[in-house]
Amino acid sequence: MTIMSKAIRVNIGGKDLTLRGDNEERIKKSVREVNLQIQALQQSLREQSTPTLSLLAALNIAERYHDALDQNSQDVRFVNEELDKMTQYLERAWRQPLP
Amino acid sequence: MGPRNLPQEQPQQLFEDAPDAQAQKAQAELEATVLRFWDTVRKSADVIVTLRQENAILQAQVQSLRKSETELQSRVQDFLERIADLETRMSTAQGSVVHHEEQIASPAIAHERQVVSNVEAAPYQTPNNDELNARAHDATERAQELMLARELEHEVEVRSLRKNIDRLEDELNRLQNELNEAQGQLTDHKVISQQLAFVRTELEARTKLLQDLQITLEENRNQRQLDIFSSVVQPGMSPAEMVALASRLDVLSGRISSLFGIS
Repeated sequence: MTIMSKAIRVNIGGKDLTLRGDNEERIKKSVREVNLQIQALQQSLREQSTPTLSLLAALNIAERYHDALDQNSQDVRFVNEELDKMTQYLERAWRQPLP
Repeated sequence: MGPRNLPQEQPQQLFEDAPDAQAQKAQAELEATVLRFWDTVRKSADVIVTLRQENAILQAQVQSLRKSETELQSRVQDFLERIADLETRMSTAQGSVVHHEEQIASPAIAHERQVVSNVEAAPYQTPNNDELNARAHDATERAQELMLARELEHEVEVRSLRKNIDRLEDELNRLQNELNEAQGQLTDHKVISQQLAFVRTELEARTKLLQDLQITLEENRNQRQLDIFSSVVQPGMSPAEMVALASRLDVLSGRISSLFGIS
């Protein structure tokens, strides 16, 4: 079954846009995130123009994306290490001489 | 149109948690999940060790049972062989007995037939009284010898049987004597138990009497007038002597009580 993409009207940084996408909820959530970034930057950098704020917001979001990637990588490594330890533990239980 | 500063679009309104808080929450959930998984792994390891131990025990039992099975089969085979051997020996013995009986019977019967045929043939042959008499004498002697041998064998068998019977009777008498002795001991024990019960009752009564007298002694210590088992405490007895006497009675009472288990 093919999901039809629908038109979604949003406002990003004060600019109305019509977007197309399959997951409306996800798009709206992302828009809110971008707006939050822009709002935060507006409060601290009141003299900057909207395009500059948009660029800085994109930069911040990209930075967070990389943080999330790093965190994900650390989590995967942590889980893999723990799984290796568990495997060794079970191996010992299976192979160690019985008392 | 500028960015909206509506209250519903503030960060705390738009998201349940800030991104950093979300990451921390996810990290905590991941660590909690790993810890739960560790618990499961530890329990699984315990189960593995337990199963291995039980498996080792069962293997040892299987080995033991197999060994026992082999030994039992060997013993059963041995018993079967011994039974077959006994059957063979019994058959051989029966055959020997029959053969022996035939051996005993055949010459006698043959002799008797010979004697009968000789006697029957005698009137038709040339009469020779001396020869006939000698043959008859021989046949009679032979028959007597055979009968004597048979009687001797029978007597030996009877003696053996009587010996066995005597032995069994002796054993039976011995057991009967032991039984009688045991019954006598039982009766003696009953009598002794009754006597002991009587003695115990008597001792209890006397102990009670002693205790009553002791109480009386305590009560009348100042009056110094007390009779105990025909011993008269003179009014002139000093308090120290009274206390010593009471103490001795107390000790005596305790010893009697402990001797016979009186509480």
